[in-house]
Amino acid sequence: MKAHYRDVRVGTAAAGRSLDVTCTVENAGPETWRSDEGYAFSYQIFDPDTGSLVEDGRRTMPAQDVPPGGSAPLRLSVALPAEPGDYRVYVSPLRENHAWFYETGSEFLLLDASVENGRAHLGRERIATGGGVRLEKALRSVGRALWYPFRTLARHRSLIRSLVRRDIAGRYRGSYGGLFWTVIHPLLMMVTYYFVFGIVLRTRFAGDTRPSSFVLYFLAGMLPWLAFSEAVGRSPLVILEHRTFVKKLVFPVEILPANLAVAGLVSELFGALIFTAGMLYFGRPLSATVLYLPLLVIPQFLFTLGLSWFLAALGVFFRDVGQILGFLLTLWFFLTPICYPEASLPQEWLWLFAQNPLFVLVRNYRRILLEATGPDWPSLARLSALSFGMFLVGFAWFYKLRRSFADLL
Amino acid sequence: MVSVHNVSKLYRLYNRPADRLVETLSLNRVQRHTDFWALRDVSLSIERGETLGIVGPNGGGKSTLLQIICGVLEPTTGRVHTPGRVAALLELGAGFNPEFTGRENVYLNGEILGLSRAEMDRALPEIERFADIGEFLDRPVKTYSSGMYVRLAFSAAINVAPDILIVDEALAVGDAVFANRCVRKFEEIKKRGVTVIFVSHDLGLVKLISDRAIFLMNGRLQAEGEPSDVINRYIGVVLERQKAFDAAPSERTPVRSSFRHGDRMAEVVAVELLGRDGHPARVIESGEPVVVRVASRFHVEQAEPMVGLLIRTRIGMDVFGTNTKLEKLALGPCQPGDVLEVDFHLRCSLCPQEYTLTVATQHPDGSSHDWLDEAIAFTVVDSRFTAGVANLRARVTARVTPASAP
Repeated sequence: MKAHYRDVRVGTAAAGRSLDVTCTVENAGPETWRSDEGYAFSYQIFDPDTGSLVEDGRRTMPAQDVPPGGSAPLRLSVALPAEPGDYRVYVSPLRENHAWFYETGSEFLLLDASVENGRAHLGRERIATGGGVRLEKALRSVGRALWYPFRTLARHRSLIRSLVRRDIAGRYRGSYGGLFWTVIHPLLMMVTYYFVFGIVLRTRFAGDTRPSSFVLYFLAGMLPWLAFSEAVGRSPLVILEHRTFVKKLVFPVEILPANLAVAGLVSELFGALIFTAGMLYFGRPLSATVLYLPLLVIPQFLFTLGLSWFLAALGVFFRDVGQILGFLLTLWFFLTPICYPEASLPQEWLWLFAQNPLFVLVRNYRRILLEATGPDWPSLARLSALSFGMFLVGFAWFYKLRRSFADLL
Repeated sequence: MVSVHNVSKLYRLYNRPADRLVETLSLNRVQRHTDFWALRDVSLSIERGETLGIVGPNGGGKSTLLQIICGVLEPTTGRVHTPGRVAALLELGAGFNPEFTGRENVYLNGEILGLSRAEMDRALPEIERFADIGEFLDRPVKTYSSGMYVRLAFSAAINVAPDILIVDEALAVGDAVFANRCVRKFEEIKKRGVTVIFVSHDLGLVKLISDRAIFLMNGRLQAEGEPSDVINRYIGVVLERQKAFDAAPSERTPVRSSFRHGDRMAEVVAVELLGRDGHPARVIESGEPVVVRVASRFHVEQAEPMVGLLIRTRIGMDVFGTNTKLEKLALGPCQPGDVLEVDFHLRCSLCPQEYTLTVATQHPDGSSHDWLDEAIAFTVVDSRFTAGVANLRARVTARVTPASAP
């Protein structure tokens, strides 16, 4: 099933929504086109944004049989819908109940048109192939994959802000402590770890034997972990918890994981307040290398959000993800040198542990906050690249699966 | 102008969620689903300021269509064009967080719809006035009664200056006073040029407020036009289906019941409730003469058979019961194979409610050959509402004795 097109002319009627197409179609395939065998010419109108079929055109029969190598005049009128917007029209021969020629790899006429104020405007007309159009679509989705995640965050920033505020305020709503718990919670956790690692196991960092050094090293390592674990840990259930947002509201669901990542940063901010208080208490000066912090926080945020997007979508399909993840996060926490020094890890395997993005973050947080040196650039560059990739892949994954959410919840 | 062009919605039914994931992500075309068309080729256009009512049986595609118009669902084919801000009440208070106060929820609701804080500040007095829940506006939503919840959610949706308002069955929960206020509000927003699309099972409401109605069944547009014409068409279809439903069981499965016991030496083969016109009926007008017909087939000889009936309310309270022995009707001996048909002529002096009919054929001592609990459920209707079970047909008179009389 192959066809070639010659002398293509497309005109728009003076006042109307139809496109008049005339051309000569040559039968380049081995079979004869007989109208009683279901061969006909027609068109299909698609929505260029979603790719969904808007209308199946009326069939035009060839006036007589077209043998292989022969050709026939094609004259048809494409009636565009009244709704304003962009349309993409495929004009092609078809065999009824078998296939459209364009589906089998043959050339077809592709018209891009739009309707405005009840009038059709022809954009571009060309002879295309299914493969070419698919390639074009693939290129466009790559472009979207690079652009959409940023657009989402920028467009909905005020909504994200309100939702995060509500999330944090809502967490302790009805409790007497209120927002106080946001600070007290990491503090209590810190005291617990301090007791186990600092007092019982006598863990010390960097040859410094004072207990205060343990507290500060531990806190510096906890900062990225707080933000990361909070967002990732909640992500598999976030869509399920907001099922009415998916099913009953016109709502950009892709910001739900973003809310978690931002809320994680807020927790980190409270952690940072405790850290600063600790520094003051122990009389340690903050060095100017603190200013490198954004270089760490940005990749950390992108990585966290990418992973949250990924897990949020996966969690809709497999409710088990939430169960497994609690365990995995505990494991991850202990595989990362947060409550013990790097030096305690088996040195011959250190290169493997260093692949952990959280390892890189923890090490660099300590460098800039406690050791007054700049970040370790090579590892930070690798982390940034990985985070950026995770961010794009996570969003693309979420975006692709998002359409099924309403049917699954 | 809202337009819906050739919209179809295909649901793919999967046996396991994992199948869906495999299919979504696979690049070659793996098929692991069965198709279900929730909507088929629906086209509509709704003018600015028009109110469109959608009626149809459950599962007919009404909610799917609304969800597609709002943009919650994507159509499988076709396209929807909705110019302007769409406010949807698909579910009351969707997105409300019970821990937060009404006011906080209203603000967030506005923000989801894309309003700025300043716009919400302006809209709030009207929301507050229309919801009329007083100081509860500053209490957590979890303390609200369902009526207050409805009022606030509805008020928040219509007072944010939408261009298109979409309402799915939302008014069914409110009290009469509020429903009345909503109707007036509908009139008012219609004058402002707001397009309203709503689904309701309350056909009276559809007739009252919509300019045009559509009837959806099996995912297809069955009728479109004047609300009263469309509603008549819908009622016609419903009655036809009801008849088909009533006719079918009497041929294939002769009798149904919620619980059946007895020695089955005689068996109830048919139970029927006949209305005034002598045809099977499930909806009876209060005071209407009806006939309960019970047919039993005997498998053994029974010298003194007995047939009885019992009417109960939905909650199981006995309303009325009698049998052929109490009514002193001797039914003579029946031979094996005989079919005995007994008609009970009753005047259905019951109050509007749902009732069930239990029948039995018994030994003379009252033990059962065949007892069928709740063989038929029926509804009594009346133009007036009366409380209780027995319709005692009150005739009310009154006189006043003046105080100054000696």
